[in-house]
This record gives sequence, C-alpha cells and structure tokens, in this order.
Amino acid sequence: MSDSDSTQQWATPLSRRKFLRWTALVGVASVVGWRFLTPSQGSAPGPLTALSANQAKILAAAYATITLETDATKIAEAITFMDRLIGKLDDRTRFEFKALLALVEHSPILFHGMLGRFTALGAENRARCLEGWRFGAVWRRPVFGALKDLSYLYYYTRPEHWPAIGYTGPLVPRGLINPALERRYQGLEIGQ
Amino acid sequence: MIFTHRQLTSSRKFEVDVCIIGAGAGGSAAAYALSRAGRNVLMLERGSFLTPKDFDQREEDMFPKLFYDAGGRRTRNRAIRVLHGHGVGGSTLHNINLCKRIPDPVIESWELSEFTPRALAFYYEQVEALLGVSRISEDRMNANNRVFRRGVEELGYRGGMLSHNRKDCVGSGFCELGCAFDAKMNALRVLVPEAVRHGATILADTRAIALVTSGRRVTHLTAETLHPETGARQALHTIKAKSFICAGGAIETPLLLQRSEVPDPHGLVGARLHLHPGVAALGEFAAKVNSWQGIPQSYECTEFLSFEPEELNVDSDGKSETRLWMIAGSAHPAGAASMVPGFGSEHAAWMERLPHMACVSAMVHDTTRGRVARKGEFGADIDYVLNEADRKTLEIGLREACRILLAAGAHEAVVPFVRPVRVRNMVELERANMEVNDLDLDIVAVHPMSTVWMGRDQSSSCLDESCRYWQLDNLIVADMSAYPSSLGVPPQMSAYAIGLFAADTVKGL
Repeated sequence: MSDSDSTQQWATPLSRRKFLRWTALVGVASVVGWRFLTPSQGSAPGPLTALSANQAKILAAAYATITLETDATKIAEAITFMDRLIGKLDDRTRFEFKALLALVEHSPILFHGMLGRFTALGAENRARCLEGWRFGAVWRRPVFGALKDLSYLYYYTRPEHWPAIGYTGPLVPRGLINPALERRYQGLEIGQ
Repeated sequence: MIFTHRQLTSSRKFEVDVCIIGAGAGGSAAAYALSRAGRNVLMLERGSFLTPKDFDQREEDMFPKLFYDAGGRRTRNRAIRVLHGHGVGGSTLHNINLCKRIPDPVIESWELSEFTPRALAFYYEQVEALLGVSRISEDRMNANNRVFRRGVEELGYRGGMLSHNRKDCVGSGFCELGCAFDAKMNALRVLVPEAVRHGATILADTRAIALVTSGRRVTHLTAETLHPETGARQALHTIKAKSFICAGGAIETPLLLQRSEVPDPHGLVGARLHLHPGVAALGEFAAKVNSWQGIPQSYECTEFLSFEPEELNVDSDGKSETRLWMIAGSAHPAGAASMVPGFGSEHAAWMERLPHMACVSAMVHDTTRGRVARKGEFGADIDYVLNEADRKTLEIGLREACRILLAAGAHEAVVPFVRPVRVRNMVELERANMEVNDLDLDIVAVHPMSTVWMGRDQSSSCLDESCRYWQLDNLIVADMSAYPSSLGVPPQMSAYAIGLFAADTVKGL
C-alpha cells in the first residue's frame, strides 16, 4: 500500500455506527488500561527477596481472602514468610508463580466480568474470584491450590490459631537442645 | 568429617576413591559400607546437616529444610504433589519408618539373572539388623490406627501390624517433620556417624552441578556450596574420584545425568518414573481421634494389594483393581489444611472438626510410567499423567477408604474433591461418584522410583545388574532410581539395600 492510499483511507469519513463503535472501544480501553496500569491499593510488607512490592500485594490480598485475616501486621508477616519460601523455588518455577500472580491480579476482568484488579476488589468479590480459580478450568485450579497451600502453611503454623482446631502443638520448645541426643553427633561437623 | 556452608566458604579440590552424590538411604548405606572397607569416601548432599535440635516440630520451619521446593514440587500437569527429601539422611529424615521388603513376585517380574530375591535378601538382612527393625506392638497403636484397624476387621479385610525402625520412640507423632527425640534408626543416626568415624567426608549444603566424562569414565564432578537460607553460591568445588555413585533419588539422579549429558543412546534416563500416587479420605467420629498424636502408620490393609506382574493384573474390562495399599494417614495442621476443601469460613468449619477426623490413605502400586526432565538449570519437569488403570485403582481406593471409615463407626466419610463427596452410610457410598480426574483431588506421591533402572539389555535399561551405568565403567546408581518398576511397598528398606549392594559393586571394580 502506498502512502497516498493510506492517507486516503484515513480521510474517509466515519459513519455514525463506526464512530460510536470506536468511541466505545476507546472508552473501554481507557478504563481497562487505567485499571491495569494504576498501582493497586494496600500496604506492602517488609523487605522482600523474591517478590516485587506489587506481587506481594496480590499475595497479601489472596492470603487475607483465604484465611479471613484482617490484621495488616499479621498479613505483612505472612507475606514475608511466603516471600522467603518462594525464594527457595527453582528459577523457572518462581518465574511461573510470579506470572500466575499477575494473572490473578487481572482475573476479575479476564474471567469474572468485574472491572478492577483483584487487589482493588472488596472481600466478597475477591472470594468470588478465588472460587473461580478453585472450580474453574482445570489449568486454573493449581493456582488456587498454590495460594491456598502457601497461605495455610503460614496461618496454621501460628499458635494463636491452634485452639480453634484443637491442635495441641509441638512438644519441644524452639531452640531446645538435648545434650544427650546431640552427643551422638558431636564432633562430626568440622569445627563444631 | 562433615563440612557445611559454615566451613565451605571458598572453592576446594578433592581427590578420593569414591564420590557419592546424595546422603540419603542409598548413599549413606554405600558410604557406610565403603568407608568401613577402607575406601576414601566423599559424599555430597544438597540439603543441610540437621541434628535433633533442628527438628523443632514446626511445619513452617521443617518443610523448607526437609523437602525440595519446600514440599511444593508437583508433576507437570500440577495434579500430583511429589514430596522428596533432602538433608544429610535424605528422605529418611522425614519418612514414617515403614520397613517392608520388596515381595518376590515383583523382583521376579524384572527377569534379572543376578539381582534375584535371594540376592536382595542378603542385603535386607543386613539393613534390618543395622536399623533394629521390629514390629510395632499393638499397645503402641494410636487412635487413628485403631480406628483404621477396627474398620478393616469389621469388613473382614486382610490387614496387619507393620514393622518400623525406631528405638526409644516417645510416640510424639511428628515423624514427618524429623525426630526431635532422635528415635529414628535412620541414615542420619546409624549410618552417617559410622561412615564419618571411618574417615568419610561429607559436604552438606552442596549441590552437584555436573559429572565430567572422558571416554567410558567419569573423571570428576563439579559442585557448588549454597547458603541454605539465601541459596547464594558460596564456593565451587571439583571432586576427582575413581568411582562415582549417584544416590540423589529418582528425581535428582536422572536430572544430574541429563545435566551432565552422559551418553544415553536410547534416551532412557529419566523415563519409566513410578510414584506410588496416593489419595485420602477423612472420617468424622464422635470421639476425638487427634490423628497427629502417637506413632503413625502402624497398621496396613493389604486386601486389595496384588504383586502380580502388571500385564497379568488387568482384567477383561481393562481395569486394574488390585494394586492398592491402604494405611492410616495423618498430618499436622498446615498439611491437613492443604487437604481440607475450600477456603475462608467453609475451610475454617472443616478445620474445627479436625480432632474428630480419622484419615485413611490409599496408594496405588502404579503401572503409569512418567518421565523426569530438566526444567531450567536445576528444576525438575515431572511428566506423569495417571493411566486409566491407576485412575480406576485410586477410585477403588477412595471408596474402600470411606467404607473402612464408615465400618469403623464414622458418622460421615468425606472425600476432599474440589466439590467434596460426603457419605453417611454404605448405600450413599455405593451411589457416590468417586471418579478421579486431574486436579479434582489432592494426590500426593512420596515414593519416586525407577528412572535410571537396571536390566539385562542396554537398549532397554540404563544400568547393568550390578547397578553400573551401561555406558560409563565407573558410574554406579544406588538409590530408588535403580529399581525397574513400582515396588508396591514403602521403599525405605530397598533404598538402604541398594546402597549396600552398590557398595559391593564398587569394591569389585
């Protein structure tokens, strides 16, 4: 196509129907673009090693929805823990996990017809989104499974949640050293 | 001596008789035997050197220390969670100490001329004596196992007490998180100290990068010490040895061989993966069960467990119905929470009933063959999709697990599908749909095996009958990779036995 051809095409007057269609498309694109590009709300947790601040916020929103935790400090502690675990994954798996977090963030509009990011939704709509990940297409379910496993690995290892489930907890305090047992291993590690 | 990341802060060169990659059951048994025979042994281990003070009975601390990917490793289609351990002691740190020999029909099905039931029995006897294997006494059964046995007996199914390798066990029930009371007679407690006393060197927190070959021999291994918390590389090592033993387990051993690009003319390394996938059902009882307390898995049901060769075990409908092993299951809160359906308030309601829940697991002696391949540089791509026969077997397992729980007096049995199936009596059980589809249900596998297997012919196997790699004269495999099929029994004893067996191969080189 020559330059004059293209100029002529753009010069063609828009019909009313085309004008309305383009206006609608530009409008939707603006809204979606704004939703996608504007940083989500919420406070980020402490120092992160594996996740970006935005990824941490997505995980925090999922954690709060899954565990019903509302205390911002406890949520931040949970994210710090999860960040450390994610840091232990191999590079490819960690990359995949982060990509899936991005998908979760944009899942309201992609799968549920809701405008807004996951982190910008209210608790009820977040729960609806997660139900979608839980019951949705087979490829979506592991995403829910991963978020759930990570969340409960932190939540149910906090002693304050044990009475509700009748769990009696560990029998040994953290840091307990039994010299009689350690003696079997004494001198094996060089310099110890 | 044991070197950890604390000492391995700079690169080193080692030259030894035997380099063993992996300090689990197989590697430790080989190190034990070879060091006692006067060989200069160096053993590498990706995980850390942990002693009883480190086993603090907390899931959040122990999962990352004991399992690859903190216990989150899964098959490629994400349908099966594959738990396999690391640390000096390997999977014997977190296992439940079940001790069973491979039944003769399974060994005979491999049609090997030298690796026979009799040959293997020689090594089993040594292992059982070393580890003090004995049957759990009935008075030590925990409530979960008593419930399980009640159901099995009520139905007239075949069952029996299991043997474990424990000594001075206090019955804390935290076995899967490592033993704070050091009551596991495992690689860590029995074999590693003895190997070190006989001069073996262990490099903990150290990952094998690649074997380097020249002609038909491995000349050296490159390895790196990583900080256990940050994963940062601290040092790069070179290990020269006369012989190399791969004992990293059935996932890591094929990955190392693939990473090293060892000759594999028939493309077999990593293929033929078996996993023993398992599912579980829960039963709610009026009385508390507290399934996490006491010695776990002291009783088994073998009513549906056949060891006939795979091809003889498929009936005219194409269903494999008898390759099923059943046992009581248990988990601490985070593990249980992963299995319990849903999230939010629905999940919380389930969790509140946890003390009243008993759990029965069903594991398939699988005929499915998967494949392990590299994912990135050090990750694992575990391609394993259940075949129809194994899927059907798991369905039978779920139904029978529910039947046993109901027969034991559960007022409701639950299968934790994505949409849970709940049955209150045998009529509802018969009507219930137990179809096992990928990602409808949490499937867990803790026994990866048979990825670098032995055989009589190098076009259809990776190792000869002495566990030596067909294409490399001084490379031996001494872990669960070496067995040619699913075993149908917990593999612990067989992993130790193959380690002792491989040590004899090395002695003869």
